[in-house]
Amino acid sequence: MQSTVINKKTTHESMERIEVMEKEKQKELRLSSECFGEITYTADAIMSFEHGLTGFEDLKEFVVVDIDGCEPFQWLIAINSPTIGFPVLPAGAVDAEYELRMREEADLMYGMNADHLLVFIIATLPTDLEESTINLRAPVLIDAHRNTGQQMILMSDEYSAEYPLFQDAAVSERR
Amino acid sequence: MLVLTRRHGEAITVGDDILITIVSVEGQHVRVGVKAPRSVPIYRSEVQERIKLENRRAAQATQADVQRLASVWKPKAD
Repeated sequence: MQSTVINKKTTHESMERIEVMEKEKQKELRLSSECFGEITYTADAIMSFEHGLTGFEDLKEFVVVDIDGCEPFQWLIAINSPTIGFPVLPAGAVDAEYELRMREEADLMYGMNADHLLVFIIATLPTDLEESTINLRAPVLIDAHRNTGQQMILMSDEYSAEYPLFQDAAVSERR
Repeated sequence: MLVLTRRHGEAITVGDDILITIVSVEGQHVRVGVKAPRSVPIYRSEVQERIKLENRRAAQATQADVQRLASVWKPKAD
């Protein structure tokens, strides 16, 4: 009997601890950026990029945020350098088959768990916005469960790093 | 940088599981075979440079640019 009571107490304490930890994760954090104004996010939204992004190897922590009027685009913003942000599109918004193939590729290359995997495509916006392109060659992979991310450069050159955003046919039909 | 001389058909081992073989040599062209675990990405060096450049260009976008683009580009309904 005694041991049952002790166990209950321990369970109760650890439950409380978990609640505190959960609250900590949900706590609203803010960062201000000249470029994006004030951005709010929660600690559990921080994704660590062990290798940064290609060419931005020093940037190790990012959040994906929505900014008013940008939908369906989101922003991948570097927490420690909030002036650096990349406009991204969820791969599913571009082409469902492409997204599926990237999931398979991520699993093959990194053993990333497909259930928690988010695939984003970085967009490049030149002065003439009609010339905007998306980088299908190097999507950003985020493991929402482990809070990690990385940019995957595809070995094969079947997808372009500068695919025109304004295309009629689906990506997988016209690569 | 370590520089090694190799003939056609000879190879170089890197670490435990990477094998680089000189497949053929014809004038200026050298064909190289690379055998490595699937988790080791292999690309021509210019590919990485290309992605670096593209990332730098992408990081130039402003909020206003993206808002304007978002007003004209919509995802295709599946």
